[in-house]
Amino acid sequence: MIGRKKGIATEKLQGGKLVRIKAEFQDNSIISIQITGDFFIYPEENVKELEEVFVLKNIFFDEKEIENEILKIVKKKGMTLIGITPEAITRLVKKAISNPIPEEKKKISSEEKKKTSNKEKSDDAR
Amino acid sequence: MKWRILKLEKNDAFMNMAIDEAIANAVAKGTSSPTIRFYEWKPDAVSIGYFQGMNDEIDIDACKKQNVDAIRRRTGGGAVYHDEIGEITYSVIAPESIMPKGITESYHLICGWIIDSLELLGIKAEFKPINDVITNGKKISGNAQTRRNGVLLQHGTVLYDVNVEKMFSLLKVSQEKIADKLIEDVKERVTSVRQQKPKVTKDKVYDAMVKGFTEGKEFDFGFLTEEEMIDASMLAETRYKKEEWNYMR
Repeated sequence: MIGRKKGIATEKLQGGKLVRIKAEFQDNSIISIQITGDFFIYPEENVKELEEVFVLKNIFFDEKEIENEILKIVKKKGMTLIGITPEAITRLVKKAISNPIPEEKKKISSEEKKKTSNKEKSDDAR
Repeated sequence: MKWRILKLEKNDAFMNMAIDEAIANAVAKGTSSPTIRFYEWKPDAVSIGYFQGMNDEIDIDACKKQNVDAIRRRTGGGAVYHDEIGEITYSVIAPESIMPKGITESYHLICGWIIDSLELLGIKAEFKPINDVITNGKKISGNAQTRRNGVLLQHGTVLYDVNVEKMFSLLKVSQEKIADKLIEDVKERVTSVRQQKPKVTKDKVYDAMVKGFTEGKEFDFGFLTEEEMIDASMLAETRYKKEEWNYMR
């Protein structure tokens, strides 16, 4: 879709768990985000509620405000977060948005993928 | 409370995860006792944590070429290579009411049973929060837990013999690009029973795990109920084999 941008931010947090945020946004509005990694959230399905916090938010959102919104949901739903924090989620969403994958690079990389071996492909994607 | 022990058996990845869930459903309903299950994976498989992206973590083409199943677990945590020969997997499925309330405390308790098992083999190990068991600073067991409907389910592996090269042909690792350097790094961080005690057979590891996990408990060796088998077959087909589940992220 024209004008739609994607960004990814990855960080290994203190305690050793990896958090990778994938964000999709258009103009100044967040379309969706995905919180992935090897952390633990209980109950697991509620991760969707945390992702939904960001939908339709302005990309210049106030980090503290969103962090508080996440904390409220965590408390309301009785969720437990291990190896991941509301602060890290919010900070990495911001980082993902501030590092959009350039359209040109995406195009080149998909062409390269056709040519290269599987191993090279996976390296390229990283 | 009397525990049911399910003896070591082999299944494919889809049935293995479905059986764990079916037991959890039966324990939640009160139709099955708290259960400790031991199992292996045939064919070899890779499992990813609930929150991981399948294509971020796994080289699916490499899995297909090597006849390795790829599956998403119901538990969080990281990607694991399950070698048919190289590991023994366990699951502990019990009402939350008989387990420690805290997540770390319950990891600590169950990982303690692994530590006791390894001790019987002459391997001194310790719990490393959040969810690992280490020996001489190297990981020998990884574990993951979920809690639903009042039931705790923890499953994990004890590494018997690591095939690091095969593991890295299947798992993608994000930080490094130089595969050889990465493999060396993992060899420094991961170990196995055979590396620690080369003469110990896999049968001995299993015997030690049965002893370590059942010590001080009232228990019977049992079987899956018909209800659990039907539920597991249904869950394998409707969840664990489905792309909607495995590629959800």
